[in-house]
Amino acid sequence: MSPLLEVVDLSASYGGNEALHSVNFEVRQGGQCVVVLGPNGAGKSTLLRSIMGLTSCVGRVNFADRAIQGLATRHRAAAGLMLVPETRGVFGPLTVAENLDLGTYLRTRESASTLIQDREMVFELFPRLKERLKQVAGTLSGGEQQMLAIGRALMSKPKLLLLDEPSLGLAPRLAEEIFVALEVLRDGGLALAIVEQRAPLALDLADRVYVLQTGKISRPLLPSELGDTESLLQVYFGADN
Amino acid sequence: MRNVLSPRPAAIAACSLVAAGLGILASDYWVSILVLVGIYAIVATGLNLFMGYTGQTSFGHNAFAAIGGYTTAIMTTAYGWPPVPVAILGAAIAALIAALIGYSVLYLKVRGHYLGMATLGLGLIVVELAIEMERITNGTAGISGVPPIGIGDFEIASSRGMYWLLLVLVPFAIWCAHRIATSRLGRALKAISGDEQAAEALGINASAHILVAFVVSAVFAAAGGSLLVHQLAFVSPEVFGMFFLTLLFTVLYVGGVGTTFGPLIGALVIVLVPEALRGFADFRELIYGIFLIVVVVFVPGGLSSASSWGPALGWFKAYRRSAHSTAANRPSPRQEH
Repeated sequence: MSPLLEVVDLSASYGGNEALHSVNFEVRQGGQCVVVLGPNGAGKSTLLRSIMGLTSCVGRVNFADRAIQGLATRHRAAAGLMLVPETRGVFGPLTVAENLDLGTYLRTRESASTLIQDREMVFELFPRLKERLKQVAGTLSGGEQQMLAIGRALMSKPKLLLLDEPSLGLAPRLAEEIFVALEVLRDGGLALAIVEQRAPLALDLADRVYVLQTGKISRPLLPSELGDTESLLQVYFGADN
Repeated sequence: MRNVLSPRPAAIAACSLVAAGLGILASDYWVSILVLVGIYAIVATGLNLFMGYTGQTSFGHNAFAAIGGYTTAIMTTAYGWPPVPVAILGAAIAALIAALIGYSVLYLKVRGHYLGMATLGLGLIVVELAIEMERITNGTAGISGVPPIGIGDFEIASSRGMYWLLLVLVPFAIWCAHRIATSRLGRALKAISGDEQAAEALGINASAHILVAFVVSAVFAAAGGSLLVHQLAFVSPEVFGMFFLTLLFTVLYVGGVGTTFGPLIGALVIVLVPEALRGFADFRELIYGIFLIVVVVFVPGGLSSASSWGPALGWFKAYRRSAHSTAANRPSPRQEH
């Protein structure tokens, strides 16, 4: 069975600089969590944005048995691929409810009750969103915006969720909450691809790990193969982590 | 984008009574002033739909009003066509041009200030064409003797008649814009104005949505242009030039971009305030200018927007608090702050 997401020989550059160099990457199936670790500037965001079609690149990207590298972003979304970007991308002037509702933009054929049910499931994962339903998204805290971004992506019923540094800028307790939710999603059959700097939380969840450094990616590793977390942090992130 | 005026039936009834009363009791002069208010409100409602809900800027909507106005003038005077089909024709031409220009510009991902410049160019080009294509438009002399609007033998020959017509058309225009804003299209537009890439990542075709909003707003502008030309019985390049554009933007920003009633409130203020200042002769423009500055600084979201009254009220309350405290709490020599 072919993998859910297959990235073959992907290269991308900004200006004269090559951000990604012949990257090979895959997510096998639903219920799997793949983590890409790497320091700043490694090309993690570029990788996810290239998969989503938000930045130009060369190479092949196959999703659910379709070649998607030529498709516009919105068609990739329609195929079941969802990105939660590093900047979260919540619609600031709109309320939490309106943001979540926009996640269902493509689901025009489904009944209102199905959509309400799905929204309730998002609230089970992130009760805070229910409390803040009428609040304007721009006034939410960083952690709440992250939950909203994930919740909104979930409302589109994706097959694969791409997350760009979900714990960025969050207090440890909030980051844990988010990863607990991600674990629930993974166990429920959703495929996850997470790029992260903060190793421990992501590694706990990962079924496969890739290491990305200055645009070059490693072969897929088991979390146990990574060796000592301490030395990994030393090598890739410098002493202050 | 929140509205301070969610229409309650009582409020609507009251406003309707006042509007009807004005139609019956007001003098011819004031009625013709109010006709202008209505026309600007319609054009501004269309532009508001585009600018308020997509977050983009168009400096070219006077072009679409000109297309509507000139189509009306030319087809009714030179060819004797009936007014209503001509108005529809004008709107269709405006829509077509908006679609062509919009498609080529928007699908190149032109946005923000660059879009503003491109549309400004459009506005300037149309006005230039009106001046240069003398055989059709009569150049700077313009076209006069435009017949009144009407259907068959029924004609609206007076300003008062136009007022009653607008009393129907303006609420209709506002209602249409509101329906669009609250539709699936409207929700997608709000998302695009929040974060275009995030909207695309949810499956929304941003360029297509912005284009639809652009074309719809062009239709509103063209309709307003036709009505204006019927009211003036005249058109010239000046009518839809820079002054018109400036007025349009002032209406929008004073009333509140992205609100339901902003365009109407803006139109009322922009037309009525200068009238009220007539007695001040030379100081009129100075006072009007100060008034505009005060509104834009202290009520930045426009008079129709609830959230912008917040800072203004906050400032006012803080001022009163400090006035009370300086009076009551004169510090004695021993006290330190």
